[in-house]
Amino acid sequence: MTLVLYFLAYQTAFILGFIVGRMGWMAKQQQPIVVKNIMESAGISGPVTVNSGMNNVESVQVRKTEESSAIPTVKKVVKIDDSTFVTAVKADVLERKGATLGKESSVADNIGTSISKLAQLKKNS
Amino acid sequence: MAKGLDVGTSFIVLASENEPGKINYKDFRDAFYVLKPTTPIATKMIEKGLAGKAFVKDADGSFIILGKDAIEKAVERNESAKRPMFKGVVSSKEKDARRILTYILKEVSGPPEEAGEKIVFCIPAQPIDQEDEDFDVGYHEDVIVKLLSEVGYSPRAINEAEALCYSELANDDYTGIALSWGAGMVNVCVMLNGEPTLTFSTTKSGDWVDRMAAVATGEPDSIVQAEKENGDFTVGEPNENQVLAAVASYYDRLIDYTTKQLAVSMDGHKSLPNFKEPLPVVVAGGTSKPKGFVKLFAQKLAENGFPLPVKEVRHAADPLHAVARGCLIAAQVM
Repeated sequence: MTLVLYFLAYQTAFILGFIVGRMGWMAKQQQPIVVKNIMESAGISGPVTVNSGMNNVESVQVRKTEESSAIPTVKKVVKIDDSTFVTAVKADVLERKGATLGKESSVADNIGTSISKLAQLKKNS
Repeated sequence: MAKGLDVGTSFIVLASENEPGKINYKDFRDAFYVLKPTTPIATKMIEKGLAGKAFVKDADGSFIILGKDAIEKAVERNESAKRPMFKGVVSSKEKDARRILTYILKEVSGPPEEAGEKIVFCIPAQPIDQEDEDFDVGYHEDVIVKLLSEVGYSPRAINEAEALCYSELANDDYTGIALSWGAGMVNVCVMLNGEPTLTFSTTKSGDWVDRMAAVATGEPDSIVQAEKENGDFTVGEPNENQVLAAVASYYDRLIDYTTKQLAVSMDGHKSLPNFKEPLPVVVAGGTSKPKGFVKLFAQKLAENGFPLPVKEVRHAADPLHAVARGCLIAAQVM
């Protein structure tokens, strides 16, 4: 009789443990997918290295590729309202009072040769 | 017609070619200092005292002194002038930074000669010694594009050191390395036949020298900056003036730090072409102006294991205007 009770208690504990473990595993599985998608869609790819900048053509291309392959299902269009974000910076309230800004100078410098040489190189590449 | 605009932490420089063979530059010191009068009499007295200086009056009645006048006023009061830019981008430290930078850029660039006139301005590269989330060049670029578009220009951004390459590497088939030593950052570009193959920046430059020398001597940054720009010192050599001695010492450390960063970052980098010939290295920017700078930089490059063969290290023909000149050249090619 005691043996049967021990057996039943062991079975109950095992089943409860399995259920709790399973729920924890499911929660863990779901969270990283969301976090991973946010990280990838934001183009965040770890610490900065040489040439990993936002302005770098290579890295931007890589990010685009990652985006398209990593998030095939959820397509959410994010619009940044730059009309109210950036142009809200107004300097109209600043009333000019004193001297004009900037010290002017001029130098004899023919940049025509540099321009044509660079234009030729850009055309060739 | 086209224009080039160097939007620097310490100086804003506009370059334009109003007639062939002649370039006009407009330089403006990127600084401001706010005076807030407490009484109507003080308002009148301050306004009278500012006659002939570059300043604006704000909506709240305060006076914002701009440019070198701001630095002079700050030094006069034993304080530091403020900057609308910090480390190459619009400053997040100053709440007035964006609107003051907007005002300065509109005033310096002036109206376009014709609607949609091309203007190329420079932006810094992503730093290698600072985390991505601590540095935002995207918003900085957007602010400048927006305001120049509003004025009537067709703006385009290029990397600061790339502009320097366009200005200084014409006789080297646009192949070589350029370093723009600004106030906030050092921008680096490796170029092959007119195409930038590698660009990055480091976040210690002239302002760092000023700050460290200010800490060492107990003087405000503005006074250190004024001493540095007007004083006589040689990089890495002792000086009788306490401030200049600290400046010379920190210059030595800055050059050592930057050349070590260059060596570590570029060694075996996959974007670097296999150069057949030794490369010219060009340096420019206000921080590169002191005596002995180029010599010590060349020496440290060799000592710290710079991974590419170097033909020569030379100063730009006009170190303060070279980036704006490069932007002007780019504006006429792109």
